[in-house]
Amino acid sequence: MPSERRHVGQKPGRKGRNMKQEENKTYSIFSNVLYFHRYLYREKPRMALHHVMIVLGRILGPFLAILMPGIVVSVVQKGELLQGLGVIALAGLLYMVCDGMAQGFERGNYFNENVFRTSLLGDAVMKEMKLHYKEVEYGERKNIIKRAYQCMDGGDWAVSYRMLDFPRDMVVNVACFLLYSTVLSTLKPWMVVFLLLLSLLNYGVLQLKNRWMLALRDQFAQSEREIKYLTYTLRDTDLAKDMRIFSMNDWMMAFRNKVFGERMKLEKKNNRKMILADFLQILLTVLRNGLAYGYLIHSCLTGEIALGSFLVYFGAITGFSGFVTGMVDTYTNLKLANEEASCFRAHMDMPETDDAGEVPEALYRQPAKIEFRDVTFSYGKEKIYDHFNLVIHPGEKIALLGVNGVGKTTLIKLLCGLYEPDGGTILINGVDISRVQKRGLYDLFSVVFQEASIFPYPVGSNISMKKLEDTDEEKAWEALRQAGLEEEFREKGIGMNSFMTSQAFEGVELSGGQRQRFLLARALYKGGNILILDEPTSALDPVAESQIYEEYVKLSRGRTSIFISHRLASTKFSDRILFLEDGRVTEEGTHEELMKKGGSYAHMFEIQSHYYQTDQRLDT
Amino acid sequence: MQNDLTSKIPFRENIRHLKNLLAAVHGLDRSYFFLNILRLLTDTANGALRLVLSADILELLYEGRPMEEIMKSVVLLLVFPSLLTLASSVLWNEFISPRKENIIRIYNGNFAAKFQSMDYSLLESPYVKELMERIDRANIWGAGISDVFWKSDGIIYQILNIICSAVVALPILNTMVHSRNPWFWMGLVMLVLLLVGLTRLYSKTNAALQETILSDFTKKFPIELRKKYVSFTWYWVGRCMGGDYHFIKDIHLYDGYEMMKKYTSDNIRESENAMHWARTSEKMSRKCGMIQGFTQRLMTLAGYLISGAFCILGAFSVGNVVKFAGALTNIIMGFQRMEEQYKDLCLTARREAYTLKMFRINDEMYKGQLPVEKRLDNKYEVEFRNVSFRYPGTDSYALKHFSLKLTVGERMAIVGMNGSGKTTMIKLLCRLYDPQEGEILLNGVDIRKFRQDEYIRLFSVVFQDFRLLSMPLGQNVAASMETDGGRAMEVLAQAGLSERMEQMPEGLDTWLYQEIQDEGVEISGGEAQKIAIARALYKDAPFVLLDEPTASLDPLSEYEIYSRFDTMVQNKTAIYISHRLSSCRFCNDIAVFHEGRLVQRGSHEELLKDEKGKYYELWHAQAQYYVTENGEG
Repeated sequence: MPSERRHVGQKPGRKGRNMKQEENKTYSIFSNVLYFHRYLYREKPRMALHHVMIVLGRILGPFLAILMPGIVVSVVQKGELLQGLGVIALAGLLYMVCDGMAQGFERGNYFNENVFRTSLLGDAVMKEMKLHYKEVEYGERKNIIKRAYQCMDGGDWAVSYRMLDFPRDMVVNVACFLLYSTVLSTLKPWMVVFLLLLSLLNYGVLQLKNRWMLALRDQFAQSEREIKYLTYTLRDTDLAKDMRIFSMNDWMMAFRNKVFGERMKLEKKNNRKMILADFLQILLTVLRNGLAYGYLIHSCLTGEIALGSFLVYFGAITGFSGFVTGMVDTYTNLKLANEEASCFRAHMDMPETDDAGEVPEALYRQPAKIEFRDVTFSYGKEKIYDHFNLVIHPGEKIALLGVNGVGKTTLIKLLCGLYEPDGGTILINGVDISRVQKRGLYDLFSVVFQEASIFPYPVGSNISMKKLEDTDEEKAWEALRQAGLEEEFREKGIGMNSFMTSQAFEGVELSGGQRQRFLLARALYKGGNILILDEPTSALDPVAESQIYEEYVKLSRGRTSIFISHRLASTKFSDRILFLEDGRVTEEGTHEELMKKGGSYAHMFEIQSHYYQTDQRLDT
Repeated sequence: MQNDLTSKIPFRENIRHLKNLLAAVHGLDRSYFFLNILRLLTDTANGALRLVLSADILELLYEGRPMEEIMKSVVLLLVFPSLLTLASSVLWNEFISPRKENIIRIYNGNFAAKFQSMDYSLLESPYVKELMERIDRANIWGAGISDVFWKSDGIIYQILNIICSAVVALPILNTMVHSRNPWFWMGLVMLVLLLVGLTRLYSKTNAALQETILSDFTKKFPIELRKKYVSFTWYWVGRCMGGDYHFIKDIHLYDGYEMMKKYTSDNIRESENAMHWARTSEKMSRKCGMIQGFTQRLMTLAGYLISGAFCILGAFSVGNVVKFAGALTNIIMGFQRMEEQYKDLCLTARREAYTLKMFRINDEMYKGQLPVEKRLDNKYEVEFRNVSFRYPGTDSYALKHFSLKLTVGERMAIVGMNGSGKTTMIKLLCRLYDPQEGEILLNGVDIRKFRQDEYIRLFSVVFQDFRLLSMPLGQNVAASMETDGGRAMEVLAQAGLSERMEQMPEGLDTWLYQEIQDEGVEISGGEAQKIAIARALYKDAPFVLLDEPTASLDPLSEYEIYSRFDTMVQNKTAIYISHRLSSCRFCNDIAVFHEGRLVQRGSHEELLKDEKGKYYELWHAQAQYYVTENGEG
């Protein structure tokens, strides 16, 4: 539906406003129902037939149920045994088929919808992988992603079930409503008008009930959130040590009593309204049935209608209100489900990382030159960089330092194109990276982030980050060798197709030091032109730390590289140190130069190093 | 492991599981079942009443009685069922539903809380691990305690329904029996045979379906398929749903999209194509549904045919036809559903049996009753005497013949490589585990003899992997709902958070993280670490143990913590673990751990003199980057 994509691809200058609109964009119920059904039928075309069977069975079955007594009574009145029994048998068999069909397909359906939900979730995850990284981490659309997953959570209440099941309920209810109206209008057209009027009243009551329910919806959601968090927290074995040392159990139990108590009150408040709604509905039913039955009996006694027809009308009137209630309830549910379905759609319709754009050859000139020109960047409300300037010369080894939260990792993410500056340009070999196709840009870097992930996939895939069949195994072994892991792996019989992490079936698990080396192998395999290491050693013991540094230094030969570390030791291996403070490079130069200058760097170095001075006494 | 959910077990065992489960529910709310039976009785009586009254009206009409007489029945039909419906609504909304929800919450809450109340060492024990695995497997398909309610509701409802319908149908049946009509008997025999056949077919199909859904179905597939499809389908889906995005950087920068697709969305579809699991379940499930639909409607049909024939032959009136067909359908459907729901409930009981087992786990560590002497002077002394310890389920020793004495008011640093047993020692000291050999003494008494709650009061620990909760800051510091505000502010200031506190919108009442409150604040790793330190100080225990407390701090904050260290811990005993050897300089007593043993102990200067020692090696691995340079400069 092209009309719904109207916000995509507008001028970048008005980005902020467009995004707001996009978030508020809702899809109509109809378009969402269509979306989920199309998605399902594309995966499993036979499901369309199943749905038709269910709907037909569910309309005809109950209808036959009200016809049957009428048929039987007419047959009895006629008094012909064999013919009569034949008619009953025919109707009964039809009833059997309809009901069997409806129940059978409905039950089988569940499993298909289950697999369907899993597939949708898989697709939603893969969609997230295609979004621009900034959206995923901090963009205004992050909320959409979160809500898209949320609406697919919750087992059988996931939105994919609801968007498939409720429309079917709706069709059945509407069809039955029409069918029964038609039947009743053959008696007296005004009968239908009368029933419709009462249905309107009924609708009013149901609306009232829904409004009462919705009024408490946020409170219920908050309570659910608290209970979920509480359970999750108590189940978390990582918390188990703190829990015992600080006797937190009493705290959690007090919190639990509070939360559970509030929930109970909330439920009672809600349920009392439900009793009132039930009472109103019962009154309406008495009114409707009383008048309708009275008229029917009158007509029957005056001989206007036969006893058999009387029974059919009698059944139709009793069933009628059910369909009105069904329509209203289904519509309400559908409307609620639709809000969530729209979140899922919004996620799936989000613009993806642009694969368009140029990939100029100059970009790949080795070694690379990097330039930040007037770069401005805010993370959320916080301005991190304001007109930031920096040049990194080809082949330079840079040590990037500064206190926590000063924006070191942010700078790297800007450079890699994971974040985008609000103003200014970043140039690599003179090419403005904002014009470069993202994949081409990502190709340039071998980055090891602090929280880099090992995937529960084969070793080979984890090194190449490609499918195993697309992995150059020799090259991967070579990377492991250079990272100093080959021997260990071969000894333990770990091969390229061994799965990794505890998540996988008999997966390979790595220690802290091995992990760093493994990530190094990944960076080596890729062999990007620019090498970036973000605090690789904070969890390592001194000996392992020192080894890792040396490995990384070997790797950085002939490449532009950037080290981020708290351990000032890293500066020993760099050509130039950049000290970041308040979004600017406040000091730069070699270690000796900066020490001579006696500024922030020298201060930081002294703080760290003076404990290592054997000739110095403790003086703090 | 044999699949134990679908295997046949004796009837008696089934009943035992059932009894246990119902007793567990009953124990949480003693009036629930009574109230619920009352409600279900109201509902079934209502149904029967409607059927009888409707049939009466038909009867009267058929006989051509006057309007007034018929209208009396109509009024009855309008009034009594309405009253019963209202009564049922009140019972449900006011009494039963809130109780039911509460039972579910408490049951699940108790299960989760068990993880925090049992011995820590049990958490990783093979027994608990296997139990957890079984519980997880038993709970696929969203089973759980809530199943008990609607399944037991179903059974009770059907029993009552059968009774009510039987009351309606029996007099009519009696008339039929007394008619001595051979056709009736022939029809009845045929019907019973058909019913038995259909029921058996249904049971067989349903059993096969349960087997497919519940058994560890992957076992049926070759190992290759299992490796390929089973282990990680849900991994990233779960991570993404949990809001994890860090790994996506790696996917982008290393162009890992195709790899991930293979193991995520492709895997989901391929696994279905390879194993046909859903397809098989769908077919069987459809068959079940169809048989059920056929059977139910067959009964309706039979009811009409039989009673219709009698009516045509003049044996009884037309109202009885409607009553009989309705009642017969109800009875057969009742038995059918009851049998099904009974089986389901038994299954639920077997699934929940593991959870109930979890509730029954007893602590295995010996806990004495000796009170811990409260000493104002904090004169406590702890000694490890020849302690050896292996983690449950491992072969190698984390600590071996380990001896160490800690005296009051001491500052001690522990250094060593990763895996040298530093954290293990702290865990033993806090009695999270008991050593296999040797003993730990507090003031000369084996720590096992003390009351656990009093003993644990002696220790404050900041673990490397400490956790804060998404609760108000003050509660996090106090680890309690009641917070001494003044004291909390004091310890936060000591941990170096005074400045940050000024930015907290609600002070101590500011919620951390956004798990529960949208306006909760995000805090950095360094800030979290400082809050964890404040929490340890708030507890005011005589022993303060810090396990790598500065790992995620930058050098300046690290320095800040170091320099406050003495004032923070005051006259307490402090043990300090760090990879950064510079921190040792604060302590005049340094213990060097290597491969589970205490290899060196002494002051920094003493230890450095031993050039072959571990300490020398560790020190120089780090100091090399600093020492020469500064020596020159």
